[in-house]
Amino acid sequence: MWLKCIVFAALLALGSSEVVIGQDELVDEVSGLYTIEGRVSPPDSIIPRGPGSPVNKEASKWQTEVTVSINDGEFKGFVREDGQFLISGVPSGSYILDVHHPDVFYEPVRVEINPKGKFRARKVNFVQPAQIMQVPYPLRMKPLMPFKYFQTREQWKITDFLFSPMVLMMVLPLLLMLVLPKMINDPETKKEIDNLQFPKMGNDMPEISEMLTSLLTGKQPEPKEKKPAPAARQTKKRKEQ
Amino acid sequence: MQAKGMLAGLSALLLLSTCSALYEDQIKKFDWRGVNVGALRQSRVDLNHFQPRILLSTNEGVVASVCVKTGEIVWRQVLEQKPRGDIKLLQVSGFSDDSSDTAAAPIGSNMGFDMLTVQGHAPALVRGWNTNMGALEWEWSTMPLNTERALDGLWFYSRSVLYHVVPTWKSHLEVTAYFASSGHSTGSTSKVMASWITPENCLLSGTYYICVDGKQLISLDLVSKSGQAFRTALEAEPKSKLQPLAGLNGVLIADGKLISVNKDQAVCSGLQSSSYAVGTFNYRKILAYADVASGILKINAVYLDNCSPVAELEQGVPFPEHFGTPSLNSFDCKLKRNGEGKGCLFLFSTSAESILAVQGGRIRWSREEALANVIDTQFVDLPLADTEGTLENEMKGKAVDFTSFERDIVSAFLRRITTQAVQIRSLFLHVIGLGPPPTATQRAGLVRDSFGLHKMLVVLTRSGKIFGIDNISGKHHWQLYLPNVKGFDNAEQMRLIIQRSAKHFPLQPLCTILAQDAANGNGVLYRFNPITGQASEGGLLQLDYKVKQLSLLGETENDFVKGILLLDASNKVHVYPQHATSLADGLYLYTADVKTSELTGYFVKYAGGQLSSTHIWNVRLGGHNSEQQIIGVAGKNPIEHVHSQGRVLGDRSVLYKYINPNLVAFVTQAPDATHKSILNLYLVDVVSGSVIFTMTHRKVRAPLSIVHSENWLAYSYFNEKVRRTEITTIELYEGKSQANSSVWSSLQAPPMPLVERQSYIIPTIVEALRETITERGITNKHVLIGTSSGSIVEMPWHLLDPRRPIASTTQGREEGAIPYIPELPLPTESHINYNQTIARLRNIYTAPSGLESTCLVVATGLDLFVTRVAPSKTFDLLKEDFDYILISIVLVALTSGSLIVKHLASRKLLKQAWK
Repeated sequence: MWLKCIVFAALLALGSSEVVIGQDELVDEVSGLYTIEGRVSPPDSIIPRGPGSPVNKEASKWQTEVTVSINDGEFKGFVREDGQFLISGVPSGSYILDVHHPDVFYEPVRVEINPKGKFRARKVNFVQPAQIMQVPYPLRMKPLMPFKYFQTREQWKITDFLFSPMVLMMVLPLLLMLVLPKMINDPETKKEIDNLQFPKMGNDMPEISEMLTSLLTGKQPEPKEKKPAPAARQTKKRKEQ
Repeated sequence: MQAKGMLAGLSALLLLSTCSALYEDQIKKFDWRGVNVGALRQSRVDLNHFQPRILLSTNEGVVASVCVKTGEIVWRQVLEQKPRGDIKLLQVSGFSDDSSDTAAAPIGSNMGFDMLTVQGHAPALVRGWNTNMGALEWEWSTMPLNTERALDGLWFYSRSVLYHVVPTWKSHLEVTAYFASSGHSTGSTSKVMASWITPENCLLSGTYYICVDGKQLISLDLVSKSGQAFRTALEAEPKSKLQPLAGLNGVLIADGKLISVNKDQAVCSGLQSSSYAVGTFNYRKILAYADVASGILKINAVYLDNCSPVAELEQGVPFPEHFGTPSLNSFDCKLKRNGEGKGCLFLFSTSAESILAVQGGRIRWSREEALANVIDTQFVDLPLADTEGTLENEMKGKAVDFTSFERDIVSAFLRRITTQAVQIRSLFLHVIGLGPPPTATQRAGLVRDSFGLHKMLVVLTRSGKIFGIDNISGKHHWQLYLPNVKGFDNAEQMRLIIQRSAKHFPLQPLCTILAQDAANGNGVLYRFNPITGQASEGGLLQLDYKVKQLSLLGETENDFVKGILLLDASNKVHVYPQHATSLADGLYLYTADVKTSELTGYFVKYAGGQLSSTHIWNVRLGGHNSEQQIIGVAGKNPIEHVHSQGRVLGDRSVLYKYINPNLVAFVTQAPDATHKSILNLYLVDVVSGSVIFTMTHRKVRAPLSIVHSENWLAYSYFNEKVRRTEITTIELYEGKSQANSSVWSSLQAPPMPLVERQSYIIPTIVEALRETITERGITNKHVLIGTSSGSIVEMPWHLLDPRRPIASTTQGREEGAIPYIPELPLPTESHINYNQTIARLRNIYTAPSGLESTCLVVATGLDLFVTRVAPSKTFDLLKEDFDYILISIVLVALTSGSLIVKHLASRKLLKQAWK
């Protein structure tokens, strides 16, 4: 008899036209809709606080900047002042929960609700969906890094110029050429090197000052001096080929 | 070896991904964003709050707070998509039908609320908001047991209790009461028998459920214990639909007159107006009403207790036509004894989806919320400056009359000299301030720039309002409103067509809108000048038939108008303007029925001054049980140029592209017993009706986005099996030889293409896809991917390329292809809208600019974002940070250095000579 009464009461409860979700677990099972809960950490923990930065002005109301959505806004959650959010009225299934803030990246989480109402949250892995890495539920969404939308403009600096590979390639051999001979103390080797390395340098190389003067005064340099240089260049080219 | 290949691939990837990023100082330089909320549904003006504010809810499912002084958004919360985000009720605390409201509790406490919204029906979500910040305070939801009936459910609020009314038509009402802020039910659901209720005749006004029954009203007070229905007699049967009056319990508007069914609530029944609102002025309840008469918006008000007019509030405001018909949504006055009425702010919503604030006899601000529903955009070149115009005239003389020009070189020279003299004179006159006054468009700065980057953006919106927007500054130069037009029956939207571009100086450009008449369903054409926004060629043209298909013809010879070819419901063909009719001869047309998935091809013939259409082919894509429905159609952009005819392979041979301008992609979807859902792709030549290629995806469903250009196609869909969004790309090639390099003919059985295909995982939800387009097609094509988070990612085609080799082969590397990686990278540097996200991104439009490197982009959704992209960097422009100072210093230093050296050298020579 008592049992009957209870059943009757339960039926009565069912008979009332609506079910309020989120009050107790039992009702969740009746309606088949569940509530996803979690907390979003504020993004200012990773955005540097500097005066005048555009992010900072709105940092006070990051709660309206953050959107928590599933399936492109089919379900949405809104963040309370303390960062808590809940998405109510979600049927069982597997969803990717996206927390989006225009300036900060939050990692999405896959939330799975089985038909019995068990929750499981794991990392999103599109390439290998079978691989499971669980994350704690209720969700804790932490900002991962600020979005870097912009390239930094190149600025001309003397250090850039000095440390550029071209300059280094020119400067280092020059240093070697000038410094190394002086470091060798043995006079014999010194002589050898002198004889070996720059045998006819003085004769072959046209003097820069002369070339300049001839160029600027419009006078043709003497053909004897000019001839060896292009010939040497040509042989060089041939070698490269 | 493999590592090396990988490295090469990675470095190429890095190179590609960084190629199109913005610099931080370019923010807002050539992009802007318009933030919208949507058409106003409910609003609450509150001038006496410590922080004056306007709280509103909109048809787009947005809750927002708007600044009273400027109309700018203070905060905005975009709710879920419909039907879940459909806002049923917005209730601000301290504002109820009953003045004795106890819900106002201190902010932050869980018991009271600041503002609450009720949205959706299954489940219905009730949310409490903090009105200062826009943050959520609490939330509860309820799931009706009968989802269908809950669709008609209504909500109302009375004395901190929220009531849910679910009607069962012709039978009864179910009323459930909840404590507003907790969601706890106050008791069981009560059933009120009411056999007279029907969906058309009933409404809820405050706590009263009122139905019209012939010449009488039957009303029920849902809060009272008795639940007794009572009848009120009417003078005449109401012709239009009844409307409730917000703010007064049990009062409704019938044919512009107020009727009260509440015995405690007297109304001034002598008034006649189109819209009413209730508020307080000088601590007395007043009723304000507003009407438009001959371009003036008249606002009047009466005291509710004695129906005497409030003289202070009476005002007339000049009302521009393009706002449509206004209706007073709400108002508020500053609490001041003997205030003179200047402190009152009236908030209007209009049929053109604008929000207007009227204060002190003028329109204080307006918001153009029609822009939340953009359905088509076009970029139109601006007119030439006057001086350039004369030059253009001269050049045109040359082009048209080439032979005479050649013959008469002296006269051409003379003309050149005279025009230059005229130019110099006008410049001089301009400098001393005596020149002719500039035209209106020139005064507004609407003059073509040298690179063609400054254009007029013509935007067509769903409400029938058209905007002319400056694409650089974002200024609205003109607005037009077409009442009584709507989109077509099969969810096909209105169309915006450029019939004549601005190239043909001195002829003015011409735009046309093709729409459907809201009243009789026939076609409507509206012709206007896109620079000034004024009607041209007679403006509105009512057609006497229903439009089925539309096509553009080539330019006519004498006035350079592209004719519009219309196929009507009885397969007759019409051309506008009439004199372009002969150009329609030999044209092929196709139609696609979305429901039955049937494609039909027509051939248009012009004989004896008459156009006729012949049905030539039929393709049924419906499948064996006709379940397949077309969910996507993608043709190529008609203004597209394909610059490169082929692709150089690793062995230096050329793979020729299959460029068929008549190729259209169709995507169909159908439910399936074993695979859940099947997606089919068909590539159809719409001239011959031959199916070039088909592909089937199993366990795949919408949302589908598709883009089709040159010889490739990319489409995104949701893969249900692995629960992720994927993009499939297809490239078509003719092979190593070209069948006919000069002319393409679909009728001469062109060879079937080689098809390359590949699928990629994209780690986001794709909302829109669009290819970049440039003037000559030399610049690389990138695909713009609109994501659900509201950002637009610029994806180089190299990454989507179906020829990306899976194994790292030498051939693939020599071809310049990156090894295949299943997941596409979405680097943040290639987000072209950085943190300016576009809420509910729906579509992206692209248009070429005058510069080959640059493509203009508009992204539409709830917000509007306009920018430009340079897929291969701006190779035809000097860099923005080009250092003019450095280069001039270097030049000066070099010249002066050489001079000095010359001097020194001569001195040295002299010295040497003296030695």
